[in-house]
Amino acid sequence: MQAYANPARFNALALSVLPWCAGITVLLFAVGLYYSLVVAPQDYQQGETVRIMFIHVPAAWMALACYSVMALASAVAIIWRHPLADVAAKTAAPIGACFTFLALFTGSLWGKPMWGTWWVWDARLTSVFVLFLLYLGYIAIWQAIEEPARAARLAAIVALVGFINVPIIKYSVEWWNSLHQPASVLRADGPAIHSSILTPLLIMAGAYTMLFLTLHLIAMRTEIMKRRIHNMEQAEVQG
Amino acid sequence: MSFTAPHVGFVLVSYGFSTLVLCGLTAIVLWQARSAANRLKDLEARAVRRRKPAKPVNPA
Repeated sequence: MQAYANPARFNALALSVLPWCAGITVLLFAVGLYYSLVVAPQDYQQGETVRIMFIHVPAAWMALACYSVMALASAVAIIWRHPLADVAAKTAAPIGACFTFLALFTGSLWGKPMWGTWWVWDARLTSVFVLFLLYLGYIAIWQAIEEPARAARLAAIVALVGFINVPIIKYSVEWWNSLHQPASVLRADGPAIHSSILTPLLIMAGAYTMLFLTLHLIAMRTEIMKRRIHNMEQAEVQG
Repeated sequence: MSFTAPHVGFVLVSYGFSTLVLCGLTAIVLWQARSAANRLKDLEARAVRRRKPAKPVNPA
């Protein structure tokens, strides 16, 4: 792992795996959408609206996964001062914010026909909304503070403190009364849903994961280039 | 998928909006990567030009 701490090595590795990641992403989306919209049957209670699950649940999983990546990278940046760690954390945030927004939006669209309301301030929905605000706050810190080292340290502290919200989101449906259904896939006794629904869900989860990996690698390469540009411009100004 | 089933509009809006957001995100990430690569190439070319030694002037 330490070998790839060097940005030049990371760039070379990213460049070689990116075409594969992009290809797998497109393939998984094509297969996943076919299964989600054509192959998967209607639910006997929810009817066609069950199909929203195939995009809502992977978006919610990725919202949590991106934040976990951000918190882990922030911890590495603070403890070991890994050169790429704060690049990884910074570039994961906008992608994670998009996934969180999609989880909230599609959840609202699923909630209206199933619960009879677009939104309710219950534990699961509120904690995911707090996660969205944490993403926005994290991005705002990077935008507001000009000195990169100071911004990185403050953003890393916010990411680590905010990580407490991740287990709260996961267990909110067990700890408090909620309109939201309890976990039906990631359970100690295995998934509680039929394979005809589980298969498209897992394929779409794979597609969202690969999309995150692809976009994150591109965004990290861009951030490394931006830092190089900044250094070169500073050198040019100083003569 | 049956397009006449109840609430199918919610499904279509969910998929349409998710496609829009994810394609938009991908476009922004790719555009930022391209503009940073172009800027870096430009700066590197300028730096190379500056490092080239000036031709000696012949006093004669």
